[in-house]
Amino acid sequence: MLIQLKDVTRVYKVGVERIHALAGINLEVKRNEYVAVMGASGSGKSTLMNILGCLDRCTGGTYELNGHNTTRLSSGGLAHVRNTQIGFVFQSFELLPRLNALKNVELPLIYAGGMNWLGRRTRAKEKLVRVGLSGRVKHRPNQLSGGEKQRVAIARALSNNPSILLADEPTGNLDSRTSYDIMALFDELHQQGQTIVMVTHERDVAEHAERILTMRDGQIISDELTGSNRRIPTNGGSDDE
Amino acid sequence: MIRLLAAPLLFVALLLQSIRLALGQIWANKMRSTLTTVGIVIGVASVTAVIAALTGLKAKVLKDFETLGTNKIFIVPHWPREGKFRHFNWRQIRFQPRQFEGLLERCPSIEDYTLMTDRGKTVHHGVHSIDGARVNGINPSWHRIENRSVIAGRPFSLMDEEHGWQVCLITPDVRDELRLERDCIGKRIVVDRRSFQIVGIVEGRVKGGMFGDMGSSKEVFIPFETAWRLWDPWIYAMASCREAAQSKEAQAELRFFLRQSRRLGPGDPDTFRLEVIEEYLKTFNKMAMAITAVAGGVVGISLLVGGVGIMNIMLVSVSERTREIGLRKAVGAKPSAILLQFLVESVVLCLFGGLLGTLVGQLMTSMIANIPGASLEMAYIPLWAIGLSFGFAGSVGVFFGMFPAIKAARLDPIEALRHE
Repeated sequence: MLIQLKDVTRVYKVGVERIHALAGINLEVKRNEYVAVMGASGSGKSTLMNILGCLDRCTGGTYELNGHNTTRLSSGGLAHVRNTQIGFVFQSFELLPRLNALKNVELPLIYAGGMNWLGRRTRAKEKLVRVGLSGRVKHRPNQLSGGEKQRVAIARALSNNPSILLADEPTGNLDSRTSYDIMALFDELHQQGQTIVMVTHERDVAEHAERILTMRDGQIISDELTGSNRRIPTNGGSDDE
Repeated sequence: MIRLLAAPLLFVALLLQSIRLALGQIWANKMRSTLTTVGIVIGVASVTAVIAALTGLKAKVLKDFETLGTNKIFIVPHWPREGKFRHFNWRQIRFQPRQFEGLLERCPSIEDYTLMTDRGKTVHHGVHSIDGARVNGINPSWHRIENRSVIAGRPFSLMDEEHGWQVCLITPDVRDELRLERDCIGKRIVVDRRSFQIVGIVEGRVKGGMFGDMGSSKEVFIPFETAWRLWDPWIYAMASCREAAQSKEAQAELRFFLRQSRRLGPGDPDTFRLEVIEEYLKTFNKMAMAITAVAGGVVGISLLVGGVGIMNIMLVSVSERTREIGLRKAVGAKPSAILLQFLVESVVLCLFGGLLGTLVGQLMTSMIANIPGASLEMAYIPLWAIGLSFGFAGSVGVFFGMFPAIKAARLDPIEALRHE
């Protein structure tokens, strides 16, 4: 099991009030799965993403990633997990404006260490080719279109060959035509074996996934396999299998 | 093994990347960075200029001492701090001329010596007078040791010495001040109510040197014996060793000789002191150090002020780039990597200030060196001062960059990514 959440809670304290952003989540995601998380704003899907991405720690329960318990890791330890296991794709791309596409993709490799300049360059180029941006290597973010920016961001997320690609509203800032291209890229990556967890509030985007989780009030209220599932369900990890 | 190597390699890679980022950041905010470093620039510029000035002064002093001669040894009476001599009166402590008899035979490293007296007295000729002229009693060997010869008339003879005749040598300045004609040999002047016959003119002190200017150029010389008989004065001696390198041996010989001639017992402290020009140099060096320390303190304050400016701009930088920090953390930058990045940026900023400061300091040094009559034409910035300045600037960067860098390192990635 790649991801295993047991009774995960996340409580925020706002003054004397306690807000249960996650109220006991149990979730298992297998290698190679393509999961979409849906839900209204405030349903806890972003909090879930932050926990899955090791950006945040749960206040209760346990989170095992790749068989390792991440609950008790230090911030440095979490950074290491993010660096080696997780690739993030954000709604607003989050590219560093002064770095060109190649340098942006190289960023996680720099923090990983253990790779020389040439190795990093080669890897970053390879990932840019993979997302179809071989001709935009030296361009800076402000010279790229929205779709191209998101492709660079995806290349960056893939640079360390992460176990999971976490996408938070990846098409939220894109027009429908470009969104379609990006989703096609996700499908392709998934077919090549990449595990993907994606937050979205658009049904047709979520339909690209094999499995859709719906959240409300910090809980998962439904966990269904989609019809467009092109693969034999390697098991959705849900109870009914 | 690989893990052991990986950590320092990662550090170096991060460091290089941080330096590149920092340079990019400074380049992107040229105006802001330059203004921020003004404090550092002023601090470094003033410290380098002060050190350059002192270095120039020192070089000048050394050069002057060389012309004065570093092979001179002054022998002066001295009250020991302890022992029975402490309570002696000056008559018991002072030198007697006979205590120097046989000195040249017993001290082979000494080339020559002269007994001397030195008093300020009023000198008259007719209605003209000089108050506080230096009246020195000297032996004829004085001319060789001091390297000042008689330019008109004759030096003192053995007869002058033996009989204590009232004859004198004067400097051209004394002649002019007393309105004597150019050829004044044989004229008489009144020194301290006694009449002396001028037998010669002795050349004036070397002018222009820092120390030449300090002594009076109005000097009257009389035979030592004459001075001794007339005034029963406090006397000292000036000796020259054969070579400057023999100074230490010469001092040892003198000490041994004087202890014997002054009948000091084995446990008694010296009742005299040997002063070498080098000793004065040491004193000067101490003085220069003190000035450097004071200047350093002042500069330290300006660096502190500059440091606060650096801290301020680094805090601005951290808050401007909160999103960037969030992203870097999301892709796996450890807090230590973020800390390093901002610390390096602050240090690079300060070193940039140090560089500008050194350039300004060099400019100031060239200006100082060209001030006429300031004796600073040899001023230059020594390499160690440049190193010191950069060291200080770097430390300021680390010290004042630490707080903003820690702030950046502690940012929560989620909060940071949400920051507008």
